[in-house]
Amino acid sequence: MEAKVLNFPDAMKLAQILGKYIDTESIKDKSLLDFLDELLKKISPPDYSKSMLLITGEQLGDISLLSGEEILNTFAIGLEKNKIISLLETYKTIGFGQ
Amino acid sequence: MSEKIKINDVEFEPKRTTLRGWTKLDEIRLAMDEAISTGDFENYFLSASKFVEIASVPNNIKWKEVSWFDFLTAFFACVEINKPTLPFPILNDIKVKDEKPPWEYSGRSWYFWLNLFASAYGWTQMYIGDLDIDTAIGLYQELEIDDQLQREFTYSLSELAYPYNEKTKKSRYVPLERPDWMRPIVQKPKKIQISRDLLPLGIVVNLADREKKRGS
Repeated sequence: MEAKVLNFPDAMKLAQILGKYIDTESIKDKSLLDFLDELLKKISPPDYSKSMLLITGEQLGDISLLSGEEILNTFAIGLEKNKIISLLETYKTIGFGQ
Repeated sequence: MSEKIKINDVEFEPKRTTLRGWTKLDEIRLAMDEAISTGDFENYFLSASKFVEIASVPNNIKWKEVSWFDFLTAFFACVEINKPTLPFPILNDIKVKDEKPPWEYSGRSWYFWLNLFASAYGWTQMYIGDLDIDTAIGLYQELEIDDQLQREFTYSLSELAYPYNEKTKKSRYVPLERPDWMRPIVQKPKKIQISRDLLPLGIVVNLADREKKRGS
């Protein structure tokens, strides 16, 4: 299962989900790994599932067939491919989530 | 000259639209603001896609299949190329709109410009539509200046311009107010050197520095 580079509406949906957990000011100088670590400590299971649905474009049933490690790996790759830190900043800059 | 960008292996070229196109972009911008206020990503995307289509050389790019960052790169390139290139003071006259007047409607922007130039210069719809936005704003500012100076002259001929002061028993000319953008630019105060012997004694605390530190 591969992580996708998202189009604009899906990317904004992802930013809306993850933006709840991350303050963009605090992550400016952080690496993706630090960001991921902080995010995984806070994210709720339903939001984790929703994010995975967006990142993979697959059904929940198909995702649940993967191991936890594979899901986490795909999730991390998805965040990297979608330049998550820039995405969260852009989401805020546009004016969404205010 | 606009720079071409490669998007999904297709060449994308933003273009500067004419006044007619620019009024459409203005309408789209309002729709985008509306979408932001309601948090509607789909409508924002639809409006932004329309914006990009109007402000670019025709292409076959399917924006739904484009990554969010490529889409925004294209969008901001279109925004940038369609900005006025001259620093018109009239653009600094920001008015806070409380509510829409009853005669406001979607698409009015074009009729505003058309009415303005057709009545001032007698130009045709096509000629006005083909103007560059710099020309349009520049002329709009000149028309506003002419109007203001005419109003000031008419006002100076009326009694209202010379209110009577009971205390001094005299009338004094009070000029008509000008819009903010026509007022003189306020200069920064000049720095004055103060002789050392006139400075306060002891430890001087610079409050400006303290405020800066607090802010950071």
